[in-house]
Amino acid sequence: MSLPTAGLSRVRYGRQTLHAEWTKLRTLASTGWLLLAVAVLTIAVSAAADASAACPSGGCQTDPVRLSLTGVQVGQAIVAIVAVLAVSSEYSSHMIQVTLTAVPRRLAVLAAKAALIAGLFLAAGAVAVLASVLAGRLILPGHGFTPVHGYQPLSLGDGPVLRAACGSVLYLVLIALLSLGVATVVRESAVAIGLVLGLLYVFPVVTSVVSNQPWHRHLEQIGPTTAGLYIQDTVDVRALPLTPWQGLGMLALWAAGALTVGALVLRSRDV
Amino acid sequence: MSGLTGGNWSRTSGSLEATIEVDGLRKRFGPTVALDGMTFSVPPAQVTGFVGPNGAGKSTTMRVILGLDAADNGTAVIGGQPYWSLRHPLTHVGSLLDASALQPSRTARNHLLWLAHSQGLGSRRVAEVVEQMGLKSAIRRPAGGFSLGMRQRLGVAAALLGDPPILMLDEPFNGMDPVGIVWMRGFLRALAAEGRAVFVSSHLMSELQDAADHLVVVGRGKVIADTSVKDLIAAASGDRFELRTAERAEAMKVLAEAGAEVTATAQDVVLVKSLSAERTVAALTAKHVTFAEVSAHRATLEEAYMELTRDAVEYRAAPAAGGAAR
Amino acid sequence: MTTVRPYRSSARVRRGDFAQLLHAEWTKFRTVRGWVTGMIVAVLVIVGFGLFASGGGVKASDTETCPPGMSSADCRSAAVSLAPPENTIALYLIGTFAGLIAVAVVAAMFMSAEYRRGLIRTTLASSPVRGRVLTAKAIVIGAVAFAVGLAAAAGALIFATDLAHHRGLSVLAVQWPTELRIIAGTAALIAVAAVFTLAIAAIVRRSGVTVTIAIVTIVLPYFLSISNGGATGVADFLLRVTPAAAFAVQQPTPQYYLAVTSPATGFFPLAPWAGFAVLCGWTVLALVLAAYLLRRRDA
Repeated sequence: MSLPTAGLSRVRYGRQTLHAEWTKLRTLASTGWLLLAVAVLTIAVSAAADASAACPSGGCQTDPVRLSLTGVQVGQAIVAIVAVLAVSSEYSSHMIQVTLTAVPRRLAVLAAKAALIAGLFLAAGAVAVLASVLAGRLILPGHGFTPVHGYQPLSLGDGPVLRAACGSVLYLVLIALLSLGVATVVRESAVAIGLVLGLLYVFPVVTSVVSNQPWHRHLEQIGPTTAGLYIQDTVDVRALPLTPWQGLGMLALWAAGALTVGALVLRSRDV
Repeated sequence: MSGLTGGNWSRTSGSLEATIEVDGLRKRFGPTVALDGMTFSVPPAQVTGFVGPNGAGKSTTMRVILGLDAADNGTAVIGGQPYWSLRHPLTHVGSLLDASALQPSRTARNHLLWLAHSQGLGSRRVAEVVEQMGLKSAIRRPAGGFSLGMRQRLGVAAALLGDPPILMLDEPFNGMDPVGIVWMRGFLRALAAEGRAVFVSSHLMSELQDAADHLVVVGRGKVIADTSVKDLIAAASGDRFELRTAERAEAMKVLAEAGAEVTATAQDVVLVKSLSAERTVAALTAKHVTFAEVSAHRATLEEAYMELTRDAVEYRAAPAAGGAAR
Repeated sequence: MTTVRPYRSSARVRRGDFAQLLHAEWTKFRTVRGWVTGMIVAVLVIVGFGLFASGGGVKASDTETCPPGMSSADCRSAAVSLAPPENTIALYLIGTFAGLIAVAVVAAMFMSAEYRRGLIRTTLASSPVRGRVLTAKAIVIGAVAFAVGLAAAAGALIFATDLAHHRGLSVLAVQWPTELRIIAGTAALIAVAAVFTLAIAAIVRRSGVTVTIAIVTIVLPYFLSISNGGATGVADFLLRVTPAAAFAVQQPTPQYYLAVTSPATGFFPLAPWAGFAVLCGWTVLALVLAAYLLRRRDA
């Protein structure tokens, strides 16, 4: 009974690991419900924002695309907790030991989880964002956002609208990857989600009090939510501290940083 | 008890491959020394018991072998290779460290399923191990609702998924009822008879008495003894015998004066150490102490083990206060 | 053959029923280093952000555009009232959001730790009256959170005002009753929010989800109102209806006319104690539900 020493091809190893992680995700009832919650919450909040906005006869400066994608700012909290739980629940139940015994190459496990989470939120995010844009298309014209004031009904054929929509889906994916990285480092779900949501929601609140202009601008450029949400801006784009894609790129940097630290820590730490 | 330390079994050719070899492992957790030069091997076709008091480093050793914890020094290899380099590791080593390491809301079958998928196996293999371990009736229930014994069986099923030549089980008898323990012993022997290397840890000797062929006894992070069960019992049984006498108090006094260690055990029975049977008889007849029987004492594995690990026990409870007359 | 007497416990019981339960829960709390650290972190975060925000006042030099004849004091007041909106002492308590998150994490873990490895069974075996266990936990976490809020708010206001003066900055002055209300209100807000989180944790039993719910209902509405998306209608509604309404306790009385009254300038849709009452209402609801579920469920 000798042990084969030739290495398994990377592709096959990755595919098996991915299959195992997918089986883990799809056999948990809560996964489906939480994904549904992301979509429902995002669409509901977007629709509510549309319905409560008004453009008076004198015109307004509201950005209709950003307004109709407001729900993303709420849905991202559910995205974060799903991603955090994907790692933290393994640590709290000690199942991580079983996982790392079945797949000793730890970075492969992290990569598989990241790929799956990204794929899931690409799908759920697309549903949520498209439905939000549709809601905006239907609701906004009735609230004063008419061609008379210079607002066309939202349409994906429109360049900026398409950019905002696709960017918002990517935004949600990046939030998920950021959360995954933080959870891998911290392992404890409550602390991880506290850190992530603090970063997402409290960072902008605190930087809003900085009146010193250069600093204010820099902090806005660095913040994951403030920079990331530039992707949704269609009005006065030139005045933004960063271009929309640069803003999303800043969020991508945050996510990459979190995943990198997570990978380093996962590799060197005792389980 | 000389001659018990150090491996003294012979390696047959061709069986070098499916072995676990641990050499000089050292590990500290902060100020605590968990492993202090742990060295032993686990060969195929036998059940090797891994025994020691609580805190001796048994679980830590297993975790280091599986690559879950990193040792500060030393190596642990499977057939000459470190665990992480094995292709489809569960088809080489099946392990059970913690039967509760499950997601409670996932069904047992789905737990086995994702494990199978991680090795490129399918639901057919899952069905086979479920059948083998007799879990068919419970398999579609959430794993969180399982009793301890059922969780152990599920854990063993998971260890067998890859049909591995090496099995490593950490305290598999925990929580099993008497029927379960007897079944498990037979099961482990059957696995070894198929040629597998079976490595079982326990801190209770009685469980392993009829299951293990070879023992690695550890204490305080080191190997204290690495020997076959037969040799261990023989060494513990030597120069010890039981004396049955109606005049127990006198007999004990006389023998103590003659230099023996005497302990009262059952009613009218004295356990005599450090004095040969002939000299005991001579001493007793000289003082006209009557006795009924002198018989050789066959130590249980438990006694041998207690003797060996007496100095290595980490956690000792205070003796019960008051207590029955004995 | 002697008969054995029935065994009697030699443990000396000292306190009355509920007091001993309270003592037990307090001991449970203070002996977990992580939780105590978390509360200390909350204080440091609030004070730290207060110091950070102390640079947000109005410089004395901004008064150079004064009309001649006006005293420098009057000029400064006028400048302050026309200066960028974030100019009330609510500014110095901006860290409350961050501190609240730390407190919520600890409160969530204080409750959900019972459900790990079945600790709840030990707890309920020692104190079978389940409603009392919840009450004792709520009192302990509420008291600790109140102390945190008091220390942090007072500290932030004192140190930040001091630092601002050193740098020659000033903000809208408030009367001392208002300042007292702000400090006490912040402490009360953090305390009740902690109890709210505890109740959610008893209902949901998973700490990650609990913290998410707490942050979404308490911090998110304020975030929505300041993130420039124009969703002011939704934010306004949420700031009246969700537990986040309680942040109204931090708003100073508007003594000067300010161009825009919005949460970004420190003004909330509800009056201070009305907003706080909304949070209290939600907390009571959550506690009632938690008590009901605790009694009904198997431990």
